Amino acid sequence: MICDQCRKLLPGLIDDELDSQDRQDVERHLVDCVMCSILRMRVVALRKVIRWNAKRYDASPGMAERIWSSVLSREIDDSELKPRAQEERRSPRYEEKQESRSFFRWGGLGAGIGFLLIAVIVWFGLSLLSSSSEEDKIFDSIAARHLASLVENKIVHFEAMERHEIEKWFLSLSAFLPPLGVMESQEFPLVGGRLDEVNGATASVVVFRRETTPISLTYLPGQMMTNQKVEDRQRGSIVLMAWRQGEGSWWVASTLGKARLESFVRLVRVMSLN
Amino acid sequence: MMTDSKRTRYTLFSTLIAPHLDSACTLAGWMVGSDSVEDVVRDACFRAMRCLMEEDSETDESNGRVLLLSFVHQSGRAWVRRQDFAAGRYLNSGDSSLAEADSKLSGWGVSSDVSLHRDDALHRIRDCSEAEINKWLMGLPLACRVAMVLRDIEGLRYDQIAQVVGITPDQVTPRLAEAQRLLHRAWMVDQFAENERRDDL
Repeated sequence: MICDQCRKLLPGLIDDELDSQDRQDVERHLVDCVMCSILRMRVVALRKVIRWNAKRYDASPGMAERIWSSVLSREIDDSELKPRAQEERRSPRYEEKQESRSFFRWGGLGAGIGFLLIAVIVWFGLSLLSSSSEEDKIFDSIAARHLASLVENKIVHFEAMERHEIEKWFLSLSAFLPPLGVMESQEFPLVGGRLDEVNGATASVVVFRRETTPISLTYLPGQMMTNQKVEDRQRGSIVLMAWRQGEGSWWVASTLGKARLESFVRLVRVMSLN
Repeated sequence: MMTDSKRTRYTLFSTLIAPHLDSACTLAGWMVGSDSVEDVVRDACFRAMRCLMEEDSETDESNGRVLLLSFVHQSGRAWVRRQDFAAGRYLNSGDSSLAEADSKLSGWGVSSDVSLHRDDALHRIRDCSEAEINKWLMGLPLACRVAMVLRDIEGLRYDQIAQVVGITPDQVTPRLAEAQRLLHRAWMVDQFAENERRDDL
């Protein structure tokens, strides 16, 4: 055996991973060759130092929990929606949709921030005057959550362009599924879903948009609204509308003007019946 | 309330993935650096979970570790490729400092006047600081570094290293041999530099 062969087999000898023939050959060579013996000792020493001293990266506190929640949310996103997303990427409308999405994300942000600062100040003033009735408490809560989502720039927790994507996401989180019906409109495209805390309970919120302005649509099961007609409120710049439908009630919040929001509400009332 | 499917996933995660997060972080840290460890490990965990959910055969705890590390290796390599591409490093054919070192040292760089009983190098190696060790290890090519981290820090067997890296067990020995050679060379280069500094003084 020559030195070069011996040195290539040295790790196997050190780690006891050589077969008996190679082991004998290497050991025999080491008896005869001083240079290779020196090398072996140095390499053993170096690897021992690595074993004892090399840096170890430990998982940071709470990492397991963070990864678990990420696994839960990505499970649907990737395994079930990826094929659909890839199909969509091939469609000619994809770039147009992406452009509109990115405009929604960033284009409206600059104008939105200035607008929101005014909204926050006005809303805090008005919230002091808010009525103590149950319905008004929910209106307040819905307005507060909508405002918080805008300020924190977390309008949606899950982006989706199709209704079934939102439904799967809510189901994966064992959240209540809003009875959306066939809610598809070019004027008010779907943006995604969000989970809010409304009146002490978790509520499923579906987010639509008109141009760059988001609209939060919340469905609360139970008879929280007594009126089947649409009631509206204003909290600062946020227009709120709500009505009872079936076994629950719909609550809409947006900084869109009242007239435009009314047309959205008409659409929801018709579509959610289907 | 957890659904059955969610409970199954949680059981798999808590028994097969979560106990090995430290190992996963160590491998990811040596591949991509500390800043991106969590991103790489998160991606690997997701892939491992999907694999476990699809797999019919039972996976025990040690296989869970190998499975997770193999996904960390894949995610880490993808991350390194993206970074290299972004930095234009794919255009560079080699590292000039290593080439220079090679010209000073032939082969393993052991001078012929050293005898077995007079080699004081062992003492100097034992006195190496943690920073020096980390620098030499980080200077190894990725494939060699991964093999060395899996063997010497994580203590995996050669067949397990082969599974993690996606090679045959026979290919592990040459990678470790190359890692040892380069590590020894890096140590020698530092020794030369140290000697030159002493001579200057």
